[in-house]
Amino acid sequence: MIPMSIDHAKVQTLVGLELHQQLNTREKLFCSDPTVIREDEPTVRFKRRLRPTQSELGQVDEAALFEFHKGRIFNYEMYGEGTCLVEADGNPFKTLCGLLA
Amino acid sequence: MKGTPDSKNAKSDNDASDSGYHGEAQRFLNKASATVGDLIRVTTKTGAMFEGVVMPRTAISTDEMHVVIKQKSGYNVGIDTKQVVTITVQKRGSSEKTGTQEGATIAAPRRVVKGLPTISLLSTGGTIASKVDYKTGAVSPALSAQDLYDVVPELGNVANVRAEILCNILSENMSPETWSMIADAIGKRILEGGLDGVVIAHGTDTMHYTSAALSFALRDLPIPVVLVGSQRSSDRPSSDAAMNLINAAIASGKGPFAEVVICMHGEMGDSYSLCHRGTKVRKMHTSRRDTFVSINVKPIAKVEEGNVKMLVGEYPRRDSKRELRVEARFDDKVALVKTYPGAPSHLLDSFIDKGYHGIVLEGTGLGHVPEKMYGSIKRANEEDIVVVMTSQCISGRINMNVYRTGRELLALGVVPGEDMLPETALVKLMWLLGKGGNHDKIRELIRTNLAGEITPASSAESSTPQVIREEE
Repeated sequence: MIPMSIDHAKVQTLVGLELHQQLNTREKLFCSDPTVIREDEPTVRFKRRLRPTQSELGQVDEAALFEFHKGRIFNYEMYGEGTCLVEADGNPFKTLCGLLA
Repeated sequence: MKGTPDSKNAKSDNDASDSGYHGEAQRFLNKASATVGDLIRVTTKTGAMFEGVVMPRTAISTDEMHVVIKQKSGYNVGIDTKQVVTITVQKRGSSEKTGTQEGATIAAPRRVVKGLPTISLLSTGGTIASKVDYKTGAVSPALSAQDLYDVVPELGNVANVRAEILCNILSENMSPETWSMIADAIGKRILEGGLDGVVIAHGTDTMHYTSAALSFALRDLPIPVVLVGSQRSSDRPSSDAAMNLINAAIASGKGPFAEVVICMHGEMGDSYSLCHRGTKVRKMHTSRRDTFVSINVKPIAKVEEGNVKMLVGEYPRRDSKRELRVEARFDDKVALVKTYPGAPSHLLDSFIDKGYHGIVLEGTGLGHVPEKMYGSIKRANEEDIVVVMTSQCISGRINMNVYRTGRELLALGVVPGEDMLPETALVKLMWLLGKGGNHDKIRELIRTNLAGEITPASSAESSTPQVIREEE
């Protein structure tokens, strides 16, 4: 249950900070696409809804559930070349040990 | 994906107890009397301590050294068994199925809602109507309607669902007997009354074979029968499972048509699904979610924003007073044989020698096979085996009157399969032979439209010269 107002004196606020660093490798991690940063307009666009999934223990993450209830639509923007079905989740990807998932 | 590799490699389709550990890792667990699901604590040579629940290895792995545990934080960590100094089992895993009883759930329990269509959801396998049972490393079918509502709460706004599991078979392992079983199960529930539609959850690999089989076996359907599957496993947020299930429920509950269809994504995104006539549809991509495509015709309907929009004018209308007849016998002594340049002249011989009753040829172009196979075809005809020609072009129509070779094959008794898909022709021939009767009559019926499988003309608009994806 999300309370309507929060008394910050009474609760401990926890802020998570996540930093991402893009690596200039020959290929991306999960597919063979090049790691280039592009400014040109995407040529492929589609929309999806994402859903919370169960963990291995059959539980649903509360934060993911909260986001799901917002009913957002996710816009995928891709290029005809240089991005592929793996990024579009339309193809299984290679894992580090060469297995498909 | 149709589920984790473990479930595919388990001893049988229903035996999901393979934890995925073997070799040193398995011995390590055995020595500590620890199994998947147990909470263990290990200390390592570097002085580190890890505590977590033992997870199954959900990938086929040659790694025999690591045991994966899920820590309280939710992060998984792989423990090098060679580095472990002590291991203790803190708590045994529960032997009950893990479900959404603990932690947050998506939906509250629900009652039957008046005013919504009532549909029967029958699961034959696949990941569409399933819960991920990671305890055993397998994807198992959703066990109850409540499970379904848990995973896809929107279903509650769309239909009252009566969910049952018919079987749990990877669709590539199905057989004509499976089709009979499914047809009988559908027939029984429709004849019991009270249903507005039927949804069949099915693996995508051979879903078009089953949809064709049901199209022939269920005569005079009063309501829609919608087959549905998912291409992307339901343990990923972008899985197509939920939308497919919702739209299939909408199509079967509200669709004005009364025939067997496959309902899956119409494009890469989630904006709409398409309903494809069960005898005119084929899986055309190994992994994309819009893999099912109507061949030689347009899809019959579009499901978008909760509504069903018909795309064709001619279709059997929904009519609850229509009396369903089930004719679910299939003769499995029918082969589908694809020919190719250099194919041996004896390609068909083993089927002829084994007393097969029918052969569907997937020839080239307008309906041709290598000339050196003509001898076998002649022999098949003499044995009164029904031989039907279809094309590996998939799209288009057979015409064996254009070239001399085609006419020779006609003279050898080969029946042109019109614009039927090879897979549909196979199923149709199995069904006709299953009904019994004179083979000449069957040869005539092969060329007769019985369930939308043959269209009279190939319009330029609906012919599919190739499957063109707008995005490419």
